[in-house]
Amino acid sequence: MALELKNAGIQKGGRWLFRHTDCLIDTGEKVVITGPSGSGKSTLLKSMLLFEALDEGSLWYGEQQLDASNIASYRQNCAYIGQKAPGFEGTVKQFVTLPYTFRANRNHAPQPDEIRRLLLKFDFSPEIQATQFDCLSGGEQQRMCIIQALLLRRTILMLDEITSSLDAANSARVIEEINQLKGCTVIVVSHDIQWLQAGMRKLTLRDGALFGREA
Amino acid sequence: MEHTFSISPYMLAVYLLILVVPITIFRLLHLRLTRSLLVATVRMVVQLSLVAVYLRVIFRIDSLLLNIGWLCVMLLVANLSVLHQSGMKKGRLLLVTFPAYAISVIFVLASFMIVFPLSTIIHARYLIPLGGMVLGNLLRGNIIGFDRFYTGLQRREYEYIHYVTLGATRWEAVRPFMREAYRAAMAPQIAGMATIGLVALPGMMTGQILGGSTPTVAIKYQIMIMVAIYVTMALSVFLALVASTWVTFDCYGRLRRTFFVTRH
Repeated sequence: MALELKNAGIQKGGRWLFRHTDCLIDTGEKVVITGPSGSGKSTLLKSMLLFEALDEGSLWYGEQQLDASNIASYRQNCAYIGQKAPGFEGTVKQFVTLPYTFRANRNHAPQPDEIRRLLLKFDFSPEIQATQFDCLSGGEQQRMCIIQALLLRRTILMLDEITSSLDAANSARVIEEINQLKGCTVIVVSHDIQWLQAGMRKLTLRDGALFGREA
Repeated sequence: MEHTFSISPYMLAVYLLILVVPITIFRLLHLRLTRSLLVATVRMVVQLSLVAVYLRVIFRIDSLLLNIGWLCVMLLVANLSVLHQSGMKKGRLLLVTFPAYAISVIFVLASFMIVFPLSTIIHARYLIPLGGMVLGNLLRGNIIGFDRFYTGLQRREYEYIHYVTLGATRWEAVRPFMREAYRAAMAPQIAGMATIGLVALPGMMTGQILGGSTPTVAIKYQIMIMVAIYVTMALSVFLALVASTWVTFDCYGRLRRTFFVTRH
């Protein structure tokens, strides 16, 4: 289903970060939101999960306008990954299966084959599952977050500056893997040139307005 | 048993002059702390003198209702102090944290009935100092707990959102932050318990020995109060943090930033 911001606006400290913003993202589309630092890119992304309150306008998922009553079920389609992976004490396997300790997912534990398949897809050896999560590099941890989301069959990935702390080689690898994901809507916030050259639709947030919105 | 030597108020006033030592050091270092030190000293003298007057009255009247009223006032002051020092705004937060602190303190005071008969514990001479020690020590852990918990949530909001989108309930998503805050609040207390008596003689025990109790009586009280303080802290930090999350998040699971005092 398509995700759409209609006439959206957010104010911070008496100033509109963005206003009268319309943004339609189709199922399976890959979009990169860019713009100068402090322009409100991350806020815009978080507003697509309603983790930032809209001061104006609305967020739609398919035919449904999102509000407090349906936000939780909408968020079950999404996975949000920030600049750094969460700190975690335990093995890689425990990390990727962490969501299954949550009540909502307790009965949907993944098959070991599924975990192996995704690890291989992301160029990891299945043996890595026994490694301590905090022994992985930043890039490897970010890729594990993506595996975690794909295992849960999340169809909308929201990635906030996820490659900002990675070196060029690691960023390239993460970008390539994400670009190859089929059937997943991906919304990336970044000003990293590598994302901008990855062939995704580019949206620019500048001076409170979103440019390049046509698909 | 020997009677405690009574210090003359004039000699005590003269004694305060040794504060000249830190003040001289401040001046040498061009450190602007003299004023705060003098204000703090004056406040201490005035507050403690008032406490001496109150306590004399409270001990003389020795009514259970008055004792409970006094404890409630101390509890409220402690609660306001925790919220203020951890940079939180009061209002609705006070409404949910006050019961959390009250439950913790009532539980621990009730636990004293294991060692004291009820008829003893309700006397002002026992209830007020024991309640005061428990409350006074509740502050530190709770300030650390609140500060760590909400600073963590604000700085690493992405982690919280990450967990929520992976299906975590609010409790499941804040649990890692709570674990971290709880560890920071409780670990120093465990370290303190492990080294007590080796590094310094604890205040309550020193006071009792000066007051004429034998060391055997004094250590029994000390052991009891240490455990009581630990349990109060453990219970109050947990209950207050959990209760605070009922009001600090809105119906969208967003942290309400209006609860934080902006620090410059």
